[in-house]
Amino acid sequence: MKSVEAIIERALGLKPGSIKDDASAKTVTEWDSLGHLKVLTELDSEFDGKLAEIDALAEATSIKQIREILLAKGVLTG
Amino acid sequence: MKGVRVSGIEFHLGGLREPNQDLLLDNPAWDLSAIEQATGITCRSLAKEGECASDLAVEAAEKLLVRGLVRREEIDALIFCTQTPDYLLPTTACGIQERLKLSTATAAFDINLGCSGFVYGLAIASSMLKNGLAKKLLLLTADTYSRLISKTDRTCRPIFGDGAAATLLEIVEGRDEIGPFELGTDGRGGDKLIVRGSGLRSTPPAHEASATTLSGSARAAMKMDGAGVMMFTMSAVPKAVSALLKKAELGKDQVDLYVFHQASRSVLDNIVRHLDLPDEKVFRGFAEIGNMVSASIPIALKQASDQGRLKPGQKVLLAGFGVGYSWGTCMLTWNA
Repeated sequence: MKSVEAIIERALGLKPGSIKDDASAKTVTEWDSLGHLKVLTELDSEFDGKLAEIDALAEATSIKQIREILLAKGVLTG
Repeated sequence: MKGVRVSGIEFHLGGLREPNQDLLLDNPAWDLSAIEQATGITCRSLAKEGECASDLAVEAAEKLLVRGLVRREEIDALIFCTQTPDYLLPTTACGIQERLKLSTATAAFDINLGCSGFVYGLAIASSMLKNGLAKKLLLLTADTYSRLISKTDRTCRPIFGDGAAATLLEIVEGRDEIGPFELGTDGRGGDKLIVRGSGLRSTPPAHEASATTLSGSARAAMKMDGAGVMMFTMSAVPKAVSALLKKAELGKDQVDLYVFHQASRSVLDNIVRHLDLPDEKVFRGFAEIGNMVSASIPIALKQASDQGRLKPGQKVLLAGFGVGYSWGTCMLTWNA
């Protein structure tokens, strides 16, 4: 299972290692509203379609927020 | 035994063409490549100045009447699905009855739904026909969303087009060709695609109060939470399709063609991925016209038929979804 950072790098067409765990839509140019649609699609695909029910992800525009939501929903563990 | 059939569909698009390149005139910093990748749309048909949804609907209806499938005096019900009526009142369908010179014995009314509107319209039409309230019903679906969209709105402007479809439904001897249906609503999504201040409820916030829309007027503009709407479609639509197939006692592979509301590439790709459908069974015809709201499904059906993708007797699954949130799915046997 890829890390959240790696999934987002792939979604936004960024080099591996370019996204750090404090990254957000405010700090990553490619992570605009269109980029966020790609992030949501890539995350949902990586997690086998399990994320479609998690409405809160629509507004989660930082690594921290995404990770917190996925942990709370049991999609990510520890 | 009597059933309901879709006997004919015609459509009419707004008279202006807006290729993506034209978006740069108002928005020079937009990345057209990223927009096209996300939307799958290269050009939109838009209403000409002064052209309303009812105008487009009348044109579509006249195209249908010219085919001779029905005489205008035989039509005894007219449903107009739109979210861009001529006026709050009177009902736009009443004006269309007059403009089409239909009998005054025609039952005519509007329904206010967006992208789920065609399926809801089929459900209402089917019910009216089966209950003897009509014999030949004209279902018109039309919108001019461009009148509500800000020139600088990167979420809405690249997506929506203006157009209309006219669908003739009638009672036939033999099997029912429309149904079953699965309809649903989730009003929690109401603020995800909204034009605040467009009705009588509230004054929009200042930043939404006077966007310059595509028509050049200053009015309350549409706002869409693209991410929120996409999450809704990924969740609700696959479930509704699965529920419909179960109700219809059909397997996925027994459907000849899937015609989803032609929302955008991102939305359709995710729905198809969730349902694990083969691409060749999913019709996409919106690339050069845009998202036509409630007219998108009937336009797609007509396109599919004209392209030879849809043949008489084939089973089609329709799914409309969007603003509200509202959604509807149904099976249709194509015989138009």
